Amino acid sequence: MALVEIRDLVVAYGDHAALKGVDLDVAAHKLTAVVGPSGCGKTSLLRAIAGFEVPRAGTVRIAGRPVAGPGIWVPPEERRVGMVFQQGALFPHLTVWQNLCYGLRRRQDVERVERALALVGLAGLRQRYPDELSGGEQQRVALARALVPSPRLILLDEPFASLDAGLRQHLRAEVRAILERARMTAVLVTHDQEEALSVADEVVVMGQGRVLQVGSPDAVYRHPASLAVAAFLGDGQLIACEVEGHRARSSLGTVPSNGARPGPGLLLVRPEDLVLAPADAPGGLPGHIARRTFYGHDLIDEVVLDDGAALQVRRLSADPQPVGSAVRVQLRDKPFPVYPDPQPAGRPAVTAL
Amino acid sequence: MTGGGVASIAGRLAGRRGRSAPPLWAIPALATVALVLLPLIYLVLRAAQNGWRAYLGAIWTPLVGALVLRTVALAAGVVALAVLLALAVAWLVARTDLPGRRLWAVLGALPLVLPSYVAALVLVTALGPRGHLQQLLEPLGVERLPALAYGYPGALLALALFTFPYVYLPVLAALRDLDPALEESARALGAGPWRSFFTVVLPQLKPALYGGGLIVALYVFSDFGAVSITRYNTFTLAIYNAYRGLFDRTTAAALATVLVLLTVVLIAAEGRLAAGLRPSRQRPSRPAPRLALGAWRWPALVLVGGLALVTLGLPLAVLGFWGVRGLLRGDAVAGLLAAAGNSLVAALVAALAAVVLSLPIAIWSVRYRSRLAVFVERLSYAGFALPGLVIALALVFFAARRLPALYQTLPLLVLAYVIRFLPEALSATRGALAQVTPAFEEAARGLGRRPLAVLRTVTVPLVLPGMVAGGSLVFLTAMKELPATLLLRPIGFETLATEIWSYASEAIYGQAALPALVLLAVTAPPLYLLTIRPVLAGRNGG
Amino acid sequence: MKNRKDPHRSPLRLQLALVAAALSFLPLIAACSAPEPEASVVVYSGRNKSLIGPLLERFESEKGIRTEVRYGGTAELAATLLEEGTATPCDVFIAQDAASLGELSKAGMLKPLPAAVLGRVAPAFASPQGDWVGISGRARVVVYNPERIAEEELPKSLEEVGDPRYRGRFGVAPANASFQAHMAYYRAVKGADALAALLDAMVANEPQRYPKNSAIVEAVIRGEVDFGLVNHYYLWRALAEDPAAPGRNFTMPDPTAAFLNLAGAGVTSSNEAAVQLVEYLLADDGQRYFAQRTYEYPLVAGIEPPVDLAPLTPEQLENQIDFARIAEELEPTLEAIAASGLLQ
Repeated sequence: MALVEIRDLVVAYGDHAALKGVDLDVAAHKLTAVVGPSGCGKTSLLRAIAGFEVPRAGTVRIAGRPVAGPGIWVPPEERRVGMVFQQGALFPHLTVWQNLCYGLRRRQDVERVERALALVGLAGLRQRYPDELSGGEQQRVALARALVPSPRLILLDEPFASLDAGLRQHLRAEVRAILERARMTAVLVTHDQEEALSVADEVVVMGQGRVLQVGSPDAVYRHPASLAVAAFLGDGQLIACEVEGHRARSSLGTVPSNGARPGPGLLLVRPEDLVLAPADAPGGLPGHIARRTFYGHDLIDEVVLDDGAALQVRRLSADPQPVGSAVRVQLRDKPFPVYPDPQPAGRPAVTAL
Repeated sequence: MTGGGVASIAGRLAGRRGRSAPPLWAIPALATVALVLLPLIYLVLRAAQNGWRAYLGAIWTPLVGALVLRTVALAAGVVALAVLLALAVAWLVARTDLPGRRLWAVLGALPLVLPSYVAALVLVTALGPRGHLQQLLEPLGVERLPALAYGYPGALLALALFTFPYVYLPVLAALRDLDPALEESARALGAGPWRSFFTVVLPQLKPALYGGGLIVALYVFSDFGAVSITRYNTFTLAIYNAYRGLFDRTTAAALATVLVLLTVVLIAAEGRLAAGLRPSRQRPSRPAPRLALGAWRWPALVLVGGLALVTLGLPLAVLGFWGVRGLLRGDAVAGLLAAAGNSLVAALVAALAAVVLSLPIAIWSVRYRSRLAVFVERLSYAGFALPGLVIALALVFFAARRLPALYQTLPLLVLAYVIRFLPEALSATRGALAQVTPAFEEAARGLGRRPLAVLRTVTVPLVLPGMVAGGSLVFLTAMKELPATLLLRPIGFETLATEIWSYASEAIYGQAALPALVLLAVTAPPLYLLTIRPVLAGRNGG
Repeated sequence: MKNRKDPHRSPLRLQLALVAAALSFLPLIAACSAPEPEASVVVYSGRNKSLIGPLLERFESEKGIRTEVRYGGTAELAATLLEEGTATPCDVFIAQDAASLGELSKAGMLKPLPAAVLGRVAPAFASPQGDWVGISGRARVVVYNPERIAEEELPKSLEEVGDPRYRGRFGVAPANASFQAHMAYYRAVKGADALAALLDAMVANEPQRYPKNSAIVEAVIRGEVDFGLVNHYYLWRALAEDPAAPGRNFTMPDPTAAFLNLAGAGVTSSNEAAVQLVEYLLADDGQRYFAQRTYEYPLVAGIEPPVDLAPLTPEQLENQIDFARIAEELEPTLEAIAASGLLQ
C-alpha cells in the first residue's frame, strides 16, 4: 500500500515552476530514491512532502490523510515526517544526546533515544557536540535524531553528498540496513545515479519538474522509459537502427524491436552489453582497443571500429587483451530497448550517451 | 561589526594553541594596550590619593549602591529593548517578504549616526509633556503627555532606539549566515515555529546578541548626553556631578573605578556566556525561505516604519525645523565648513590609527591564543565604558605634566579617540582574522615570504573588509564624540560636535541644528557603504 | 617563529620609526601653523562663545593682544585646570559660577589680582583671598506666564512654592548648577533642616522637572507650566527671539529667594596680558556689554543694568555671603537634593 500519495502536485517559486504536476506513490516500508539532474525538482518534491513548500496545486496524502491540498495545509511539525539534511543540520549548541531528545514529546520516552543511538551504533558519543564528530558520525546522528519521534516516513536530502567517496559507500549500506531494521519508509533524494540504483528498492527518475519513470533499479536501468532517463542513468551508447516489424536492424546486428514504431530508431547499448571476440571470430564489427580505463575489478575499453566510430565496452579485468589488439565487437544475446530517433537526419552510427 | 563574543568563539576555532609565542606582535600590542590603560592608571592614582580609607568611604555609600542599581537597571533595560528591536527588524528584513525590506534593512542601521545628546534632545522636544507631539494632539484635547520623555523611560528610549543597530547589524549577519536546514530540522522533529525559533534559531544568534549587547551596555555605562537630558541619574551623571558640583576628583575617580569594576564583571560575564556557545560553522545550503506575512505585513510595516520615523524622521524633522528657522533668521553658517573639515580629519586619523593598532593585538590574541593577550584585549573595553570626561582628564593629567609638546594637539585628541573606541576596531579585526584560516599564512610562509610580507600580502588583504567596517564605526563615534573633544582639542579647533554643543548648551537650537545636520550627512554614507552594505550583501561573515 | 636574529625585524623597526616620525610631525605642524604674536593670552572660558566671544574680539582689536580661547563647561574646565596643575597653558579662567573659582582658589591655582581690579566691584563680589573677581551677576527669579497667572498670585518666598495651590504648576531644573548653587546658599543661610524641609515641600508639590533654565523659560512661554525658578536673563534672550512671547520675570521679596550668583574670572599665570583682560572685563565698556548683550547685572557701580531689569535690591547687594562657603555647602546640598527625590 502506498504510504504517500501525490497527485498532480505543482510547486512554483514566482514564475518558475519547480514541479509541474507530479503523480507519485511511495510504497510503505521501502526505500524510494528520487534521482535526477540538479534543478529537476527532486528537492522541491521532498520539501513539499515534508511541509516546507506550500504547493500551488495538487494534493499530498500521508497514510491516507491529506496534508496538502485545496484548503488543506498541515504544518511540518504535525506531519510526523523525519528529515535528514545534506550536512546533517545537527543543532550545534546541543550535544548528541540533546539533539536526539529534541523530538521527544514526553520525557519518559528516553529509552527511544537510547534505542536510536544503539541503532546507529553511536551510544558512546552521546556527550559530544556536533563539531566534535566526523562527517559520517554527524549523518548517523542526524538519522537517529529523525528516527526518535517514530515518524511515519523519513526523508533524506542528499545525505551523503558532502562525504568522501569511501565513507559514502560505507554509510549508504549502513543507512539502508538501519532503515530496514527499523522497517522505515524512506525517500532519498540524490543526484548520484549510482547511489540511487545501489541503495533503493524503487527508483523515481525526475526531469524538468516531472516524474519520468518509476520502477525497480533494475527496471529503470535496463529499460529506461525514454532517452532522457537512459541518458541520466548509466553510461553507454546509442546505436542507430532501422525498425521493421518486430526487428531492429543495426550495423552490430539485428535484435527484437520490443514494439517500437517502424522507422529510424536508436538502440540503447550499455558498455556491459558488448563483448569483445577475437579478431578472427565470426559476426560483429572489426576494430581495435584504442584506450583503457582500469577500475580494478573491471575495466572499460574504448574500441575504435574500422569505420572510425568508438564504442565503450565494460569487461571484467580478469581476461586481458592488450591495448591495441584487433578485436570484433559483438552484441550480447539479450533484449535491447529501442527508441524512435527524434532527429534521424545525419545521425552517426554510434552516439555516446 | 562583530561583538567580542563572536570574536572569542571564532578565535577559539581558528586559533592555534601551543605555538611558541613570538613576541613580535606582542611589542606593538603591549604598547597600544599600555596607552589604552592610561585612564585606569589615572583613576587608581586619583582614587588612592587620599588613602584606602577615604577611597572605601567614597564608594561604600548607599548612594553608590543606588547608582549601581540604577545604572545596571538602565543598561539591562536598554539591552533588552535593543535586542527585541534588533531581533524583530533583522528577522523581518531577512526572513519575511516584508515590502521594501532592503530599504528597511538600511534604515534599521542608520540611527547610529545620531549622537545620543542630539537624539535625547530631539526626543524630549518632540515627546515631552508639551512637546511637538502634544501640540499636534492638542486639537484632540490632549493637554499634556505622560512624562515618557524623562527619567527611566526617557533614557531607556533615547538609548535603546539609537544603539539597537549595534545589535541589529551582527544579528542580521548571523541570521543570513544561518543554515535554514536547522530550523527545518526542528520543524520536522515536531517543533512549531515559535519553539523552533527559541530553541534553535535564537541559540545560534546568541554570539551576535551577546557581542552586540555588550557594546550597547558599555555604551550606556559611558553615555552622558542622553542621561543628562532625560535626567536619569547614572554613574556617569554622578561622576560628572562630582566634578561639576563638588570639584571632587577623588570621589569622581572612586565612582569611576566602581564603573570599571562593573565593566569588568560585565565583560567577564559575557566572556563566560560566549565561551559556552557553539555557533554553527555550516554555511547556508541555500537562501532561507521567506515567510509570507500576509495580513501581518501591516503591523510589521507599522513597526519598521514607526521605528524609522522615530529614529530618523523625527530627528531630521526637528533638526530641519530648527535649522530652517535659524537660516531664515540669518544665523551664521560660516565656520561650519571648517568645523566639518576638522571633524573629518580628526575622526579619519583616529579610525586609521585604531584599525592599525588593533591588528597586532588581534594577531597576538587570535593566532597565538596567549592568555595574556586575551586578558589585555578585554581590558581595552574599559575605555569604551568610561565616560569621555574621565578619559579626557586622564590624558590631561599625563600629557600636561609629562608630554607638554603633545598637549592640546591633534595627536593627543586622536589618542583619546583611539582609547575610547579601540574596542570597535578590535572586535571587527578579531572577528575577521578569526575567520581566516592560518593555512593561508602558512602557505605564504611556505612560499618563502617573511612574516611582515605575509602580513602585508595575505593577512591584511583578507581581513581588510572587517577592518574597514570596524574603522567606519570608529570614524562614526569619533565624529560624534564630545566630552574629550572639548577638553583635548587644540585651542580654537572647532568640530561639528563642539559647534552643536556650543549652541545647544545655550538653547540656540537654530544654530545647533545646522552642524548636527552636517554631521548626519557626513557620517551616514560611510556607515552605509562600509558597514551596512557588506552585511546586506552577506560579505561580512559575522 | 624565528629567533632574535630574524632579519624581518629591521623592516618592522623601520616601519615603527616611520610611524613615530609621522606622529611627531603632527604637533610640529600644529606649532608651525601658529606663530606666536607679541602678546597673547590663553583663556579657558566656561562662558559660551556666543556670550563672550564678541567681547574678547573687541579686547583683541583694542589692546592688540591675541586671545586663544578654549570653550567648555565651567566645571569640566575647572577639573582640567586642577589636573594640569602648574603645567597649565591657561592664563585666564572665566567661569559661569563662583563655586568653581573658589575651588581653584583653594587649590592655590589662582594668582592674586591687583587691588585696582578688585576694587572695581563690591567686596561681596570678589574672592576674600583677592584671587578672583566677579564680572557679572545673575539673579534667581521667578519666570511666569502672565496669561496663566497674575503677578500677585506668585509665591513671595521659596517656602511658599510648596503651597498646595501651586501643585504641578511650576518648573525647576534640579540638576542645573544655578539651582544647586541657590539651594547651597539657602542651606548656608537657613541650615540643613530648613533645606530638607524646603526640598520635601517642593517634591510633594509635584514640580515639572527640566534639564536647564532655558527649558523652563520655553515651557513657561508654551504654557506647559505657569512659572518656574530660573536665572533672570534667560527670559530676555527668549524675548529677543520673540518679543511677543508671554513671559515675565518676578523677583521674590524674600531675601534668600533672590540669590545673586556670579560669573567671574581668575588669573592662572604670571602673563601680564592676563590681568589686562580681567581689567577689560571690568572696565565700563565690558560691563555695559554684559548689561546690554547678555542681559546680566553689571557689578561695577554706576553701570546701568539692562533696560527693564529691576535694579539689584539692597538685600541682594548686602546679603551675599562668602562664595567659598557656597562651595562647601554644595556637597551636602547635592546629597539633600538627591535624597529628596527631586532628581527623579
